[in-house]
Amino acid sequence: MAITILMPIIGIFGGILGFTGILLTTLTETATQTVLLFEGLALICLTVYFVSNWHRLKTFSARRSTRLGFNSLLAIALLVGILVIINFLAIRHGGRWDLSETQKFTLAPQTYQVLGQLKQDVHVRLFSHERSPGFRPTETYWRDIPTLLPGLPFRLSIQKNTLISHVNLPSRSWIQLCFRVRVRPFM
Amino acid sequence: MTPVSILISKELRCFFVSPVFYVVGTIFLFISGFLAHLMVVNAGQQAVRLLQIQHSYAQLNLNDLVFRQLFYSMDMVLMFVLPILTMRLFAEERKLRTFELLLTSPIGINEIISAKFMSVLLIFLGLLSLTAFTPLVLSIYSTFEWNPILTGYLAMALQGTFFLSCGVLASTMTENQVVAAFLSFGIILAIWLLGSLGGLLGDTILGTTLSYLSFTEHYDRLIRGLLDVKDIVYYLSGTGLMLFIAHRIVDSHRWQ
Repeated sequence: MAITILMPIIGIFGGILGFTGILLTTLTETATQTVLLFEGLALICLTVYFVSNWHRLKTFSARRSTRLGFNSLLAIALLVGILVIINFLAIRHGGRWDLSETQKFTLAPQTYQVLGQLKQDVHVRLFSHERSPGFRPTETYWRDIPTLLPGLPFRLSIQKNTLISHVNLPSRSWIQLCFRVRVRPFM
Repeated sequence: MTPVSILISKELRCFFVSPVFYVVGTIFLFISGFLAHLMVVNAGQQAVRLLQIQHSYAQLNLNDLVFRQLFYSMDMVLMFVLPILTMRLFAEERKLRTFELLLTSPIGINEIISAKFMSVLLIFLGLLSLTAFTPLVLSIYSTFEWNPILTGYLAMALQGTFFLSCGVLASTMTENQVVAAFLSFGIILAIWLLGSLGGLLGDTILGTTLSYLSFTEHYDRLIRGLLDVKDIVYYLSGTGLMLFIAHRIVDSHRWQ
């Protein structure tokens, strides 16, 4: 009786541990030991659950609706896989055309050359004010910076220590955004 | 006529005899026209202000002041309007018990899905083309760059196509049209919020992936005049995936 109640709990626990482990891998790069422990425990829990429910799973999987449903899920998973590959290829090798009115997404060749030789982080200082055309909330300016260099052998990552300060000039109040951008060539 | 074209014409007939289409079309065109009017009035006020300061006619960027703001606002309008257009596609068939008839007819599921989707897409593109009067009329009185406007319209067409595919998917899941509309809106909202979640997680793999999965950054780039292959691939992938899931759900009715 106790085992009947315990087994679903072990299964759910295993699932949660496995999911947490995957989540930790994507969030931090340093917690390797913890991730290994979580995934190991998840594997043990799920193995115990599947072994104890083997007959039930076998009956369930033999049903026609289960087989067809599984086929559908498999087909969707396969399509998702294909789409992920296509999108990955489009991100890495896709072309782009700057049709904006001021060519704002295009940098001069000299700038590209300088960026290619950078060995340390770049401090970007951006000034804006509420009345400037196209003024947007501060966070969205971040998105513009990586779009300047796609398709080139550079990887941009904006560092966390962003400082937003207000500068009072005689005419009006300006917002100053300072952040560090790391420019690294692709490996 | 091919089975697909017969089904498309049948669906279009259903749209044109339904009051829902006329109401939705009127609201869509009224809101887009009203928003365009507001943007133009705002641009006019800015021109007057600059004239008072500089004592000369100011060179205003209409792409920035009118069209970009209009495309941003139209995104929200599409989010609300398009689920209403798609809600009846499959839900009505199931409610009227004609769905079984459709499934047992000598037409494949591919044809059924593509015909229903194509019909609603034609309706949407027709409505969208009517909003082109705004830049056409404005071009008589002022000069502006056409390229960002064309990419903006491409963005709206792709965004709308994606939303319609979400609506088709939602409509296959239920026989209640209201539930289908809300479900469709919920799916679109969830995809939209993925971008905010990605922004919260910052520059991590998960954060970047979630931001990419949301349509906000793709739409944003297109309406600002950056035509990127990855954005077009994103929209086509999303539309294809939604329609494929809808196909599997319709197919599941055969063996459930």
